[in-house]
Amino acid sequence: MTTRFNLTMQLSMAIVLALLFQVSPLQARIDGITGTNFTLSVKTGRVFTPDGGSILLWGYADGAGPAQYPGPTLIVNEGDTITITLNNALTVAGANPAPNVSILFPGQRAEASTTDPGVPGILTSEAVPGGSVTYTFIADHPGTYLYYSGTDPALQVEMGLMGAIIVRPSSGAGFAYNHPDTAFDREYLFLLSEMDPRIHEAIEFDGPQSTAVGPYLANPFPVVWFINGRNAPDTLDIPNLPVLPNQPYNSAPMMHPGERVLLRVIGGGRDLHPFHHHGNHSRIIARDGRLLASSPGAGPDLSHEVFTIKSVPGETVDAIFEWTGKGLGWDIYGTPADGPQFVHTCVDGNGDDFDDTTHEYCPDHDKPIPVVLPDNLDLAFGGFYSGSPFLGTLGSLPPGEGGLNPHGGFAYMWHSHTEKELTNFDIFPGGLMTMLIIVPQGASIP
Amino acid sequence: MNRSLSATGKYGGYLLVLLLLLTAGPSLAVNLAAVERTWTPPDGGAAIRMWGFVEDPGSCTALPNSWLPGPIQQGVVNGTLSITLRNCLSEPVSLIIPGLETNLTPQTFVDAGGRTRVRAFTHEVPADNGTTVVTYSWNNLRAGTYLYQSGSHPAKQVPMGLYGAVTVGRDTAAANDVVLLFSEIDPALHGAAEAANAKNYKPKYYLINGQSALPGSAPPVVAGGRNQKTLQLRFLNAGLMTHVPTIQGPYMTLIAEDGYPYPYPRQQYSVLLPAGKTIDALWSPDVQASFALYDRRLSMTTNGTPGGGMLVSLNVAKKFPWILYVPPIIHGGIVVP
Amino acid sequence: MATGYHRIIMKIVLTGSLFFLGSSSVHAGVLVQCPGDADGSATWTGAEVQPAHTKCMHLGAGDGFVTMADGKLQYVFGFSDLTGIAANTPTGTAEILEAGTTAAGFPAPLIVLDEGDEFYLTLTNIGMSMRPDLFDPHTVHFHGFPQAASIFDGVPDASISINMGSSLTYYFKLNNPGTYMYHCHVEAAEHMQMGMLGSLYVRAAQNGTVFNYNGKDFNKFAYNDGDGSTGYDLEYPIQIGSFDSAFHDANLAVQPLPFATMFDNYSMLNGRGYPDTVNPNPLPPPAENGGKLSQIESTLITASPGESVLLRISNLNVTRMNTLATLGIPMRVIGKDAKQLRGPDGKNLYYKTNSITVGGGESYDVILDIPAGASGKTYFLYTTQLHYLSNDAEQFGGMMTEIRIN
Ligand SMILES: [Cu+2]
Ligand SMILES: [Cu+2]
Repeated sequence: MTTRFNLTMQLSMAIVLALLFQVSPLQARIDGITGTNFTLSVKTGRVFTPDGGSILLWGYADGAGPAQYPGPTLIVNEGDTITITLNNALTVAGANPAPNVSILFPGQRAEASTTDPGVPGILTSEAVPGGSVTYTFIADHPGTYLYYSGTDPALQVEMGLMGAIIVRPSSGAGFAYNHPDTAFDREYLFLLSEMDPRIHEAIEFDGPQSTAVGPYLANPFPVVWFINGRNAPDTLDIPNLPVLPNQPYNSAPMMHPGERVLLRVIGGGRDLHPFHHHGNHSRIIARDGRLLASSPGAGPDLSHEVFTIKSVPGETVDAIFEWTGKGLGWDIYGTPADGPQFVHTCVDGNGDDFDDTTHEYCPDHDKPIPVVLPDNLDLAFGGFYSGSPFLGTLGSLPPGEGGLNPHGGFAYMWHSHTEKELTNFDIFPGGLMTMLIIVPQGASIP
Repeated sequence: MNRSLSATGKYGGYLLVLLLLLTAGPSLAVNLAAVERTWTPPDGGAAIRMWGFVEDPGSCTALPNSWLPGPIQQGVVNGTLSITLRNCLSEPVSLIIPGLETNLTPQTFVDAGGRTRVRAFTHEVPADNGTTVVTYSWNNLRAGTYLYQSGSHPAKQVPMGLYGAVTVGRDTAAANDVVLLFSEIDPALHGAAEAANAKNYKPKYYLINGQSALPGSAPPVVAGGRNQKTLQLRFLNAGLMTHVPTIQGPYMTLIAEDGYPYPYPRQQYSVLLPAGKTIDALWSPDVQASFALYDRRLSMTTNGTPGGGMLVSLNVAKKFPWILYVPPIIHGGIVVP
Repeated sequence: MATGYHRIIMKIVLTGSLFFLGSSSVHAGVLVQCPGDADGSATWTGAEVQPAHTKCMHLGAGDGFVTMADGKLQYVFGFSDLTGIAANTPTGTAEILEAGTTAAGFPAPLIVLDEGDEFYLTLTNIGMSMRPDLFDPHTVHFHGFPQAASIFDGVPDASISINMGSSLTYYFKLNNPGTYMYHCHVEAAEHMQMGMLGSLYVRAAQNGTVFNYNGKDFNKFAYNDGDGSTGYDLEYPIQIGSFDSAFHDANLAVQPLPFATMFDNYSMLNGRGYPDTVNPNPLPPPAENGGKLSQIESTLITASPGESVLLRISNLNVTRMNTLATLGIPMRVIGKDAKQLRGPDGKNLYYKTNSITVGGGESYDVILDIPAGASGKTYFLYTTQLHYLSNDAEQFGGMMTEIRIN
């Protein structure tokens, strides 16, 4: 049997403490930079993988900041004219100069500005080493988009040059698009990607003119997979972790029952990934930044529900996820028979079958869990298990078990269902994976 | 919403189209031959042995040398397409159009374990140095875009190059149409030894319409219709890998796959194009310019060198689509003329 | 009787793994929970009364062997169907352990449920007879179950998994029809590559009523469509999958597992490569299984002219997506991921096509409407990733089957 680590063991104490004391910047929102004028630089950095690996990165940096994988998430408003200046600060090994760099903005009508200092490339205007280029576009449609290198994309996107763009609609920040059916309570970004470290090693040691890189670029064979630039379990750690200087973003979704959560899923790499979100279906409302509508203004009337989002490289998907535990056939908050602490009411004042506050599904209220769970001796426990089948309850677990779920939430794995991609090199679990934690109403979400 | 598609030839006027529609079951009868040819990579790599469909030269002598995907067949809506095939190869071949229904007469063999296996999806042309010709036909053609390809030992014969495009009709909203046929070549499977086992398929050349962009050079040009006119983009994938054609410019409206109209068209800048798939899209360029069209799966390499592969320049012309328009420089996917 | 069980003991003795012995004498850990069932058989016999809308099943998790279409013997992990063996007898535990030893089926036993059912699924961890050094727990993940509770979701990191020699009973109330799938979620990249996966679908409550659609009466439907548009006459579960035999061989040989280089070389439908897919019978069991069948599911699709055939297609491949195509007949796609393709205000999003691309963990419901004049015809269901039309090095095989019209 190969090396395997317990997910629990891998998680740093920091996250546990953070969850326990609510002091952390662990954030249930999309981190990024806002405005209309952005200055990005292409620099080198290191992508650190949880197995101890370190991979050369070419990343977009926010101005003078470090290279980022993915590049800074640009959060802009519908209708704004966006200007992006890109500086080429890339350095490479070997005698040859660094390559030109650039940005493509699929879905946007980006142009090099009239004062563009860039040079013409095959796909777009490019910044020479030490030089810069300026692009401009009008963010005329709300939605989820991405950006990536337009210079030798087969190499430069692999090296890390890609990031997300969010265009907020004029309806306001609580909407994905300009329609009431796109309202959400929380939003999360899932920018999916992969790397073939052989390519990065060849570039690191031989420079961009490496002859070793050819066979790998012709047929890449990735062995590490990412959400928002991190591999599990680092996905679940806090953002802006000092030990991951070039991977500032995490992926740690949390929600309360009854909330509407917007998933912004982007294929940032070169492969398709079946992104399976445990817990419930989601409703796909948009692709490539366009609402699935039969006509303008119709809202997402062509939306449909899935339990696995087929993420296509270069494509974006917006989906709404909800969860209440409706219809499970037992009371997820426990019954008096389970102990006096489980006595609770289900008050459905508005007649929607749900408790007006907790969103408990009242028809299942006080129905006991229909089976007896095995003795602890017969079981193995996960780090995200609260020790109890009931929401908001911490049960007793053997020493050293559990611990990552201080609110007694329900935890759900959100991951690539190409399960091979749940590894970091040869180590399982890892890769393209995170956990959604649903905590009871009242438990605060940072 | 159902779209009506009218029939047309490549340069056909609409009057002719109407006439064709009024006469029941117009038929297109063509003669093809399956021949061995070579494809020379743009990067100066060694010529690669290919098999391909060509217009039938009438015998297996004096064959053209340079490989391309088979000639585009332009069928007529509700009409008949019949292809008479000559075989100049060393093994039996056949013809199928996966998106069109017809009578299949599978050819089988019995393996060493006594199990019957299908060797070819339909009847074959024997390998007899071109002596025998066999006709395949399809009736009541549906408007759309289709692949024709070998139905014999497809794991070997299709990647060897035995494929081409069939177009039937054109969407009424479109003034022009263009075929964008994606495919791949793994030279390791093209040797004289006919290494049949494609399980380790690792293509080195990624092609659109038989051409791989050369790194560092302007991409191959594809006529992209006229400014302010709607163009029907016909995407086909004759390769074995998934590709994601992406346009740097106005959105496309995806209207059909495998010749079946979508109930509701979709706005996207990208197309999921798995192996064997065809997709029809409408696209209305709003400026006279050149637009990059590339594979977002990043099969944008030529024998491992980045900057080539599946990348073309869609040239939107000033006047007529058949007048080649020299592209100005592309900036961010849009051109300043 | 208990030859298989004896083999475990032999293996332990041979490898000197005394710890396993102690652990396996856990013994009373086998516990089947099924309402109205007194003898722990997950069935109702004699005086036992099956409560309305209740179904029970008893799965074992263990290992075994299957035969690839080119003849290669392949070691697998998998589930076996232990339903019907009474656990609550003096010899019950021994009988169940014996029945579950080298009994892994590939794919896992088919699970067919009805909307409205309460489903009690007991999982007993039998242990790996060929890998007595392993003490892996197992789970059942009911993939796609809507509004899931994490305790019954089978994700070991998020809840509980069952140790060797013991049982865990899952409870599912089926409110939503559709095509799901199930698999073990413990060390998923390994246990799923090794074969712990199967088809699972839930039939619609609308079944039994009659709707006329396109001039034909139907009384079976994929979904509660209200108009018969998902009506069908025959249904076939089709599970897409593939194996990397090097990974399986390494597992059997107790070698480090090559996750990073995992590259499948056997592409299959319902656990077989062509032409075994069209064998209507269970495949002969490998001798190593002690006579236990391990590949019972044929994928030969037969129908009559005029019939509508529902293909319930799921993919539990762990290394790649697959494109599955029909040749000669179009697919009418009416569902994805256990949901009817219908917009929120009732617009049908059904579409016709010749192929679907199915990633791991995705399902599609596809109807083939067999034309009236199709008698005697053969159509094909095959992958257009033509390099997967092989059984390792053997050509004319892999992910393909035939649709034969009577
Ligand atoms: Cu398992
Ligand atoms: Cu799953």
